Amino acid sequence: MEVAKETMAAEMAHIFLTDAQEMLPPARVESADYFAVLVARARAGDEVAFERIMLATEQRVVSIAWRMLGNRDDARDAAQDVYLRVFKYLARFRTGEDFRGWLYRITINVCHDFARKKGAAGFGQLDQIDFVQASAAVETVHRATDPESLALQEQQLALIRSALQSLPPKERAALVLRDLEGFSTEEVAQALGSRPVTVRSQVSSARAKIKTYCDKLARKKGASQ
Amino acid sequence: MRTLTCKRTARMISLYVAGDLVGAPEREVATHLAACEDCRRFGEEFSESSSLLSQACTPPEFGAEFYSGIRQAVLGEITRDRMRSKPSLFRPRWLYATAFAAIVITLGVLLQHFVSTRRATPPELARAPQVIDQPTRPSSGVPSPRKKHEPPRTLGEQSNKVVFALVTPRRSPGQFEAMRKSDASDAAQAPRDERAQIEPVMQSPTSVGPVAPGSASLSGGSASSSSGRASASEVSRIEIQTADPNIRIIWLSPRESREPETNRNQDHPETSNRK
Repeated sequence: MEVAKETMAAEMAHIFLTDAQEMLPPARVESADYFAVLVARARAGDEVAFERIMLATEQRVVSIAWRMLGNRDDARDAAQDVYLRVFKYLARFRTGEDFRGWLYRITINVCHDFARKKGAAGFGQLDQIDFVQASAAVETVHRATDPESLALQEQQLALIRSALQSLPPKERAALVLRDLEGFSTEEVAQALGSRPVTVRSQVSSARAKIKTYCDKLARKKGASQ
Repeated sequence: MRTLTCKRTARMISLYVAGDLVGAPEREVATHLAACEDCRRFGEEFSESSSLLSQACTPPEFGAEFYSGIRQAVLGEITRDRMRSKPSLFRPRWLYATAFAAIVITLGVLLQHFVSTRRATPPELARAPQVIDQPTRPSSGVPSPRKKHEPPRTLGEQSNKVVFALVTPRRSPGQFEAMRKSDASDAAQAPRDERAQIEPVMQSPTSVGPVAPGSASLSGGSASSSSGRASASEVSRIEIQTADPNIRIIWLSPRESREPETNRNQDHPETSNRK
């Protein structure tokens, strides 16, 4: 929950820094009515209202896209595609539904489409990751001081991100939303269009796979020593 | 509270570490971890991997330009899309669409006209003679027995009742002229003479063929003459159009009383059966 509060605060700060004059009072930003009003105006063709929707949600959308796809360019392209889809299908959005849940569902679907376009060349399986290289990085992750160690640490983190990308799409989405974005299980279920018990199962499986990957890294590290 | 096994705890420990368990399951796992060293270490490994993942997946600072670029790209695309979707009458595709619609409408009108003409002349009517009933107005002013508001019978209705037709040799125009003149002057004064001229036509051996049986009922209304003879006060005119458009059979018959007609039908049982 703390992560969610921090992210919300960052969104608020970003909104006020970007377009302080046009934004509504902060008390209304938090409420669902704020988005309901903006959505109604955007449906009527008000581009300013749609821009405000983007301002209020773009940080979270880009964050999810980056965590799902693993690089900056893909995250930017995916975020653009997300908002184009939102504008295109805004008429289908049902009044009374949680707009942010609907938006994050579109985000996850766009990221799945991007990952599918990349295909097998995009991300490898967990078994195909170079564990020797990764174990060397793990060694320096907590005590990196010199530039070489920092580079090694960054390499290790990139490998862990690769491990995340190699998860099945649904498990990856559940893990990103639940553990990295700080959503509750119910919110994740709403965003993914599934039941909370299914989300728990997916998250549990994803955590176990990530732990297995980290264990392999640790074993490789021990063997290399 | 039941005691969990290590195997069951291992399945639930990832949820416990992330705080997904509440109530009794959470207490059961906590109790088991307090007593089991291996499971406790297993839980710590989960926590480490989770924190490592969080550290690896912390998004970088993208900056205001990054977000501004996304917004500008999206809004620009929306604007271009709106410009593309604006219809213009002078664009070629609209010209093509208009021409196509005109062709479709023309074809539809022609098809409807063709279908309506086909319905107007069904094949059985083309073979059967066309019967046109034009009862002459009674000179005495008595209204026709046909109701004023009765809808005219269609050709299809008549054709369904076609039983036989009259095929007579052509009469001389003088005969019909004489009938019309006599009808116009006074039908009551010379009914028997006209019957004498017309009845041979019906009894002629050449008068065999399909004709509308309703012609008798369609014939003109009754009229009463000043002398009290109702059957002689009216002359009905029946026109029969044969398949040949050049041949039209015109039949003028005086109105008869019911009794002699019944008697005549009894004399010709074949004709009465058909009616």
